[in-house]
Amino acid sequence: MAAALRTEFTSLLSQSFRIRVLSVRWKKRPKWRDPDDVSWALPLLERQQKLQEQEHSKQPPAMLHMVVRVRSTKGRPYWEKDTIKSLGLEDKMFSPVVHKNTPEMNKVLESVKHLVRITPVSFPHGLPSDESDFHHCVLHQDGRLTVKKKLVPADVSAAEAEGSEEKSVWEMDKETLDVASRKVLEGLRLSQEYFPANRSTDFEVHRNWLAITHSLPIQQWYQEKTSEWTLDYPPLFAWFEFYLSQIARYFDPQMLIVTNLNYASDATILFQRLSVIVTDFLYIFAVREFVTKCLKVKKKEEVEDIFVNPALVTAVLLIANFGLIIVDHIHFQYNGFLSGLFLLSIVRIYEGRNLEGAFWFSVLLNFKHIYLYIAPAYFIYLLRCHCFTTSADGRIVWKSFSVRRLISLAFVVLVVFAVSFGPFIYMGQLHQVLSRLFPFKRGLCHAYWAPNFWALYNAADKAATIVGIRLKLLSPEVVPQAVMTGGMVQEYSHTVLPSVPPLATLVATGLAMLPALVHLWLNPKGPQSFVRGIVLCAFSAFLFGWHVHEKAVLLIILPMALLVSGKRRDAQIFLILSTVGYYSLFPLIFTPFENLTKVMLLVMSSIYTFLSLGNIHGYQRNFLQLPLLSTVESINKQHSCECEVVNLPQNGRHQRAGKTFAALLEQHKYNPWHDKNVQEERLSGNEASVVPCNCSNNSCTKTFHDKDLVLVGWLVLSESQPDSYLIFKIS
Amino acid sequence: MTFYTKLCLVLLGAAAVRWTIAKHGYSGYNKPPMYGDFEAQRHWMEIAVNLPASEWYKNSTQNDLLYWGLDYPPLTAYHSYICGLIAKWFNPDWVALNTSRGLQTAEHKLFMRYTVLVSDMLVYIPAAILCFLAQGRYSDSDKLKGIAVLLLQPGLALIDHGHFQYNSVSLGFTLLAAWAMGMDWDLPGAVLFCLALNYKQMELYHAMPFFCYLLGSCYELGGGKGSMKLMMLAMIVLISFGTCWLPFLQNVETAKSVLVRLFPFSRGLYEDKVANFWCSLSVVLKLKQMLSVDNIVLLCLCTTLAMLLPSSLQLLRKPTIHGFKLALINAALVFFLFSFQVHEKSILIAVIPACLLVIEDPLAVSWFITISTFSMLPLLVKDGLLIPSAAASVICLVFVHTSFHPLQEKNVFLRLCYVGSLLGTAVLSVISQVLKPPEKLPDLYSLMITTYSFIHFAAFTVYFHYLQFVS
Repeated sequence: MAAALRTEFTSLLSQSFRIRVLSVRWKKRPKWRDPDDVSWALPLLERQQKLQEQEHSKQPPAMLHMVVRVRSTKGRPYWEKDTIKSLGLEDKMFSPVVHKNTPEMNKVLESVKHLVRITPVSFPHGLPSDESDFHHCVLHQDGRLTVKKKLVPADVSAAEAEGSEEKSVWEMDKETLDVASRKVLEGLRLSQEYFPANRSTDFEVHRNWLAITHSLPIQQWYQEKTSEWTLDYPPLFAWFEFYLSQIARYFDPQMLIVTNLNYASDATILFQRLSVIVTDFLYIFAVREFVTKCLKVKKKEEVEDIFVNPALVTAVLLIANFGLIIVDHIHFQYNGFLSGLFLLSIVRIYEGRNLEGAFWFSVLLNFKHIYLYIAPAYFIYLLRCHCFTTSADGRIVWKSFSVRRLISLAFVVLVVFAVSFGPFIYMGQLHQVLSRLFPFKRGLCHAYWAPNFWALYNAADKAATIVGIRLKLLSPEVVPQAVMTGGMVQEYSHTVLPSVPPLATLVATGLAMLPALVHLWLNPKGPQSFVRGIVLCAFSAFLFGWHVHEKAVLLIILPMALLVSGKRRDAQIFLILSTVGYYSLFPLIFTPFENLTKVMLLVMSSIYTFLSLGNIHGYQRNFLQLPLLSTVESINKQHSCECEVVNLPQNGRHQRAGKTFAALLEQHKYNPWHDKNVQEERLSGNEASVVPCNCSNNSCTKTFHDKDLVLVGWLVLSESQPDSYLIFKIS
Repeated sequence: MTFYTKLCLVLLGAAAVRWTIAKHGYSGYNKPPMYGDFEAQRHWMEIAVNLPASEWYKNSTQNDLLYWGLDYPPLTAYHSYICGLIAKWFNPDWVALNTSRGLQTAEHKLFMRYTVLVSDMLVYIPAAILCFLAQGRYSDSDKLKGIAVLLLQPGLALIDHGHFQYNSVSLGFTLLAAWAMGMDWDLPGAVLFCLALNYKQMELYHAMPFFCYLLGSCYELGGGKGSMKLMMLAMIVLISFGTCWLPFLQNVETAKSVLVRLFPFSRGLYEDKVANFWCSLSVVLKLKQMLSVDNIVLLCLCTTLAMLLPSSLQLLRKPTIHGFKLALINAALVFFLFSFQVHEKSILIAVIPACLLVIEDPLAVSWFITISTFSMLPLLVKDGLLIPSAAASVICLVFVHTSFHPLQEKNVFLRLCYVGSLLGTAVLSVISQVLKPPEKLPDLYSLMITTYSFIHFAAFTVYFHYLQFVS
């Protein structure tokens, strides 16, 4: 083997210094002397055959020539220039001119043949037969004149007159046609599938808005209706689309043409998806602001674990939000960006910068008017807490009303609205804009029923109709054949129950909001109660509003997520609300590939929510019981440590002494891992508090030295007794 | 309880990443007449379902071997057979003999993607979980992180669920074998490795470490026990091979036809541009034109064996499980760099065992993972997987960095190299996608990518050898 290698290497070296000669393999030579072998004559025979074929297929000469000039006439003698001029070729090179194929013309052409190229004109589609066909004729570079003929309805009587034999042939044709068209359809569906993630109508909606704002003057933004997806967001969003379209130009200018309906090139998809991702960074920034400024997490307790640290849990719940991913990045909308603005205004209110909060919220309202749902909460809270002060016992001080503050608030809001709607009021289009923004013609429910009260109402109506027909109380002719779930614009009239006018939904929504608003007015205990007010307002509007989208559930879930690290009850509500709310978004995504994705994402998000919220608030491990979802947190004797309930005075300072349990144990040189009485899970660094056993005095450390009692877990026993704690004794 | 809940989260995350990749293109979409690996797998299902086993590897009127003839060992064929039966149950058109060539429908794509996902779930994912669960010395969270790295590692997901292959099966069997070795179950380990070998002959890259480890452990036992164990091992390997090859052992000719299909020496030194030694050498020296194919094969064989020797001998002398893992990486890297007919996907064979070391050496592993994905860039771009591969790489990098903090490495120079090299990959990827190569050198960028990766792989080979000798 070594020898073989060596020889190989030597030959390699020698070859690399030599010029290599291409070796040509000769075919086996024919035997000349064999009279039967005529293989040498094969090429001759082939050529003969080819010539014959050519002669056979000779076509009649073309009637017309397409002549183009291919050289410049500069420096040519004057007669050649004249001839070129007479042929009509003087103005531009390569612009075709058609001439007849006659001997006279050919003579003229021959005299300038070095300057022109002549191509015979052919008619692969036949000659144009109709006057209207001339509009659709194209003369190609290779001389083909293609005619797109107008389609005339086929002569039906002629087809019928054909015999039965022909008919059977026709049937077979239909079958093959079916097969062929099915193939085409499948190919089309595959190519749709092939492009990443299914795109919804909203994708086209936003593309259309890009086109409208880019290519039309402002006057026409709210007039344009080439596409059925007219611009129906407030003006600031239109401006947002306008600025996006300035960048979109560099990706694919075709998408900015209004008449290019349903246009979706790769570059368009890339741009649109990227725009959502990039604008999401505002949301991420707002979440960061919220988590760092508004959540009171003790610095010492910060563990960098996304399952334990309340701030990180809140951040994950907000940023990696299942609803936002589904609605923004698979379906297509800019909710992340808008929620960023929303969160920013809440953060400012948390910080006490009420004016800025009001500013951001009015900006938000001018981006998407769906946020009107929660405007009442903003109004009440700002009026109550910005313009009045509260006395020590929590009552409103009527005399403290500050006109200056009210005016400044109104000024901020009105300026934003003036900037947004001003130009349209000036152009006298306010009515037009408002009719676009509030399309009451669209019907009570969206194409997919949002899971709200009216869905039940519709279902009840349907059921009553069916029962009525069965019992012959109703005649089937009376029942309108409208489909409630399909189509965009649906005016559906109920058959049995009274039809619902928009005003009724407005009244119902207002009534549902009222208790929450009154409560907010009476006891505004800081920004948390404000966020609760927002959640309740959004909930009422979602349940009773006119033409509610299922996506509006995000408006409830996102603010609710801000509260999860606070009270245990809020966390419990959030668990159920988010799981069900996300599930209600499922109909948005329906293609087979995304079906699995959405299920996996929902399960992931639910597991994470249960696990992390359970960690934050502490729960008893029980195989049959989901974290936080038990009705009664019973004292489970299966833990072998002794427990006792201690009642604490309200607002006791030592409620949360603020040490992680691990730190406590470390302080006392107690290693729980060797103590089998302590459940391992309790020790995973959850926030634990020190509660003195005889809790009449406030000093925690003293009682902690008491050998009898060491607090292991901190658990609120039940909602009715918020101040009773579960204490584990380790003996 | 918490551990298993978190494990569920990891698994779901991995599955979601895989399924999102699966949404994108596969190799050979809309590229008649030969299409690509996707069509190859479909064609094998068609052959396996419609022809008797003895005909699978033979050229006949029904089975044109020039059109994606079966060239993987019998287990792949059986797998194709099972998938083919299921496909036939769904829709006979998908596997109709000859008429189904070049089939491209949405439902069929969905079905094929599901088959990959299911085989991945059945073999690779349990293997990944077991590999880390068995390691008593790691803490729970370390185990979870290790499993997550093995699952989120972008190369395998992109090749299997994007490009379309079933590498997860053979690699999963190898991982299972390594796990069994770690549990001191050498005999089941040998059987599992035989399964891997019979699924893809590419697993031969790992044969040497397995052989040396087992031989070394027999020698350590010494005397009668050792030779007894050796006999048992030989027996069990023969039996498992025999079982796998049973349908093809009826006569010599059939068996021979299978062997000929498995080792196609006529194909050439390398396919496309690969980040190995020979391809990088071709920039300077055109070996292909100088030597005949037979000589090249011989040259490759000798180089590979020579380079394989150090790590094998070390393992033979000191058969520890840690050394064995390193030897798996080393052998695969040596094969990748020096052997004949290497695919760019073969780097996965080295990357997967490397992931087992992520807890001890996060910096090197995350570096290796990133470069390996980068080295497959030209292939992935061809399949329209540019965005998913970028996204999957970023996800993996972010995960490794947040959970292991590899940048807390004390050596400043190493840290700089790491960051610089990752930036280099990013810049090269962007350049290769944005700028057009000069007309004279259409392959300029892919050559740059392969050379860049080759330098890294060579360095990794040296580094992992060093680790093995130090351990």
